[in-house]
Amino acid sequence: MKKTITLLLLLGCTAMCFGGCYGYNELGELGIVVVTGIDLNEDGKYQITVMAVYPVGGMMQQGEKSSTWIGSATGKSPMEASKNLRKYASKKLTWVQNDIVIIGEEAARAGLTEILDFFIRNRELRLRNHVLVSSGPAKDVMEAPADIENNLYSEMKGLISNMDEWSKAYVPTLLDFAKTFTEQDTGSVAGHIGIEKASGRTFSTYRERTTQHEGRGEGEELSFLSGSAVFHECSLKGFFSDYETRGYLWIVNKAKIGAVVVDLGDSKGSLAMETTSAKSDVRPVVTEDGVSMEIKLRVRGRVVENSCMDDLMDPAVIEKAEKEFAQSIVKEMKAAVKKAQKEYKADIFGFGDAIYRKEPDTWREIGKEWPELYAGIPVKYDVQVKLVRIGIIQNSIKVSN
Amino acid sequence: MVEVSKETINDKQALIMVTIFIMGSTLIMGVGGVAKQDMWLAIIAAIASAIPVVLMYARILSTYPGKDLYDILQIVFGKVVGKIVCILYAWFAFHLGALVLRNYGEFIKTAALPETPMLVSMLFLGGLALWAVKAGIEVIGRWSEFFIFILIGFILIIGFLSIPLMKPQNLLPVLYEGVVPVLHGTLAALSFPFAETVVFTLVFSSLQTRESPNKVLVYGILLGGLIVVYAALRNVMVLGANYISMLYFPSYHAVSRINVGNFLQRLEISVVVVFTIAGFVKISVCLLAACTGIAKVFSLENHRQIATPIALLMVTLAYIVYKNIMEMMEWAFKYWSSYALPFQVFLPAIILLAVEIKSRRQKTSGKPPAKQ
Repeated sequence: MKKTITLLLLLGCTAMCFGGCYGYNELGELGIVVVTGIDLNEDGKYQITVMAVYPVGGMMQQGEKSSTWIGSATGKSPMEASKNLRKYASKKLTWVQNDIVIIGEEAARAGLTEILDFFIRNRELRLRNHVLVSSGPAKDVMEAPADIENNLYSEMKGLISNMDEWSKAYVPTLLDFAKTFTEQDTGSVAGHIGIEKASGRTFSTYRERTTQHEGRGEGEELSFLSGSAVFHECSLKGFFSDYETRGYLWIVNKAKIGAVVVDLGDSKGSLAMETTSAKSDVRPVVTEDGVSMEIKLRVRGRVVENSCMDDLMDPAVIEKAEKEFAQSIVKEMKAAVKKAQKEYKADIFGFGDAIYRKEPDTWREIGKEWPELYAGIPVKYDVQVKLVRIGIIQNSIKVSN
Repeated sequence: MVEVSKETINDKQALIMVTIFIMGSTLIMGVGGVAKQDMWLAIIAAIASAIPVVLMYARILSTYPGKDLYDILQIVFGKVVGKIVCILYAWFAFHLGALVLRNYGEFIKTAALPETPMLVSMLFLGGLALWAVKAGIEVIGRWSEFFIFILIGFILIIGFLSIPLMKPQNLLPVLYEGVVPVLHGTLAALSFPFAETVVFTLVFSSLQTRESPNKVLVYGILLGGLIVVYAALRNVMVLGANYISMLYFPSYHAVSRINVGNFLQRLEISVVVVFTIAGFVKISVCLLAACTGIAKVFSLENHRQIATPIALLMVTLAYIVYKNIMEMMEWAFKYWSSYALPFQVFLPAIILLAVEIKSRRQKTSGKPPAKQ
């Protein structure tokens, strides 16, 4: 008898373990938001647009059924707008898998304080999200059709993962982005996404459907990722072109792989280098005249293209090429620094932070007037390029006349 | 009063208990935040200043081997005054346990289970602590001895995985604001968590030798302090001091940054595990201390008789002690040191003085000192 009672009690206790099912969510009931876009409308209301993936199980169902849902709602604040989404959503929306945040240009120009707070404060949204700014409303970008992937999200994810391969686009994580706002008068940089007319830029086919669709129509839109968006004091100041973005990335030690092309000397033709590694160091130099910054960059690369007829086996030619490449990189950096200093007045390179950390005594004096000082800070460049390989052939094929 | 069989724990177990106790809520709440990027300096200074304090505790304990602070108070100050001080200490342990329980509840509610009522998670951990206390200090000691490997394992793995995210320049500049914020941080870190080990004087009546309290407390502080310093350094290097000041639970965020090859990620749950294990030991020790104290004051047979009501009261106090999480942080970082230091430093100093006088007097009057 006693045993039976103990057994029953134990059984009862096991039932308590299933308390974990409290607040459960079945996969089939979820709309998993993967991309969130925020716009500021003309009437001052925030518009939130989400792209949600609906899990579709089994081969039978997949077929023609759509698995992506794009919803949009407006509200006084981002939070209210996101709640208002439920007006149209049939599934329980969850943000835990959200990966990309797109901020519309208007909203970004008006100021990020409210938006950023909404994203950081909420527990559901992970800080590993990617932050992008769209030229034009985020909603338009999100409504562009996917090119080859199943949905636009996979497409964007692919674009983002490819950014390291050419270093002309930069997308920070939400945490890195938010962190720059806590540093010493630092400007911030986010990714830039846009859409352009497809007009034969890319062409994707589905073998069975080639007969039905002859590629993309002229009017169809295609999303691209390139360049970056520059913020100062929480609002968008403008966009960096792809070259300026790479100039920025060289300085902040984030450029990895990229192509640099130079015209070499008097011979007609160009030489292209793919960088394999780059390391930069920004340090403040304090003299009696004031503070200046010194950027030291060491790049290693290999020749991937040679259409000039110079003899690459000649060390003098390589040395000359190295200098040319260094010049070209300095040009990119100068372009970025100039635009950031003069036009945007945004200290995106963390010059102020470098002074604060390495020369705290100087910072104590100039820290207060840094925003005014920044635009006039002279910058010195010290770039050295090392070509270590020239590919699998030695000299170019000489085409005989 | 007949002790049936004296519970003893060996030095290793006691040392591990002290270590886990210090890790307790410190690992997730973070300490010395006022010192910003110098918080690691503040913590090291706090460890250094905590050592004389714990030597004081050890001296009190080793003068009367086999007795805990409650017994010693009654021997030294006499029945009436001794019992009043006993009640104060029992309250301190009880209150500390409730605060840790509340930290745990708030953390679980914020980070892991936002829809589950906070009372549920606190009740379960409180119930577990009650079980541990009923089982006695031996069981808590053995339990700690086993789980320290899991804790250290997690901490090491997380430590290695965070190395790529660390930016050593986040630690610069050193002492930018001068020494004052560091001293503030030191004081805060001394009262939370290092000098909280005063609770152990209430339960360590059964260590192996006379020298044990010395060894256990000092090495425990050093080992636990090492882990706390490591956590502070990691958090600052990964997140930056300015960003940390925005966060309630910096470790949770620092660990959530880990991403190895896009498949090893979302490791922040390990922080919850570490906190649950360490918090459990801390709460159990506090509960044990509170129960022992009340049992001694009211001359009960043993602490087990009242463990259940005290544990339930502790959960209740934890539930009502703060109105919201802001109040919790305000209390923990602004007022805790002024509330706790009397229990941690001033009262023990007075007790030590009394103990010394008493034992000298006994020596001169020819009687052997109490229970050598």
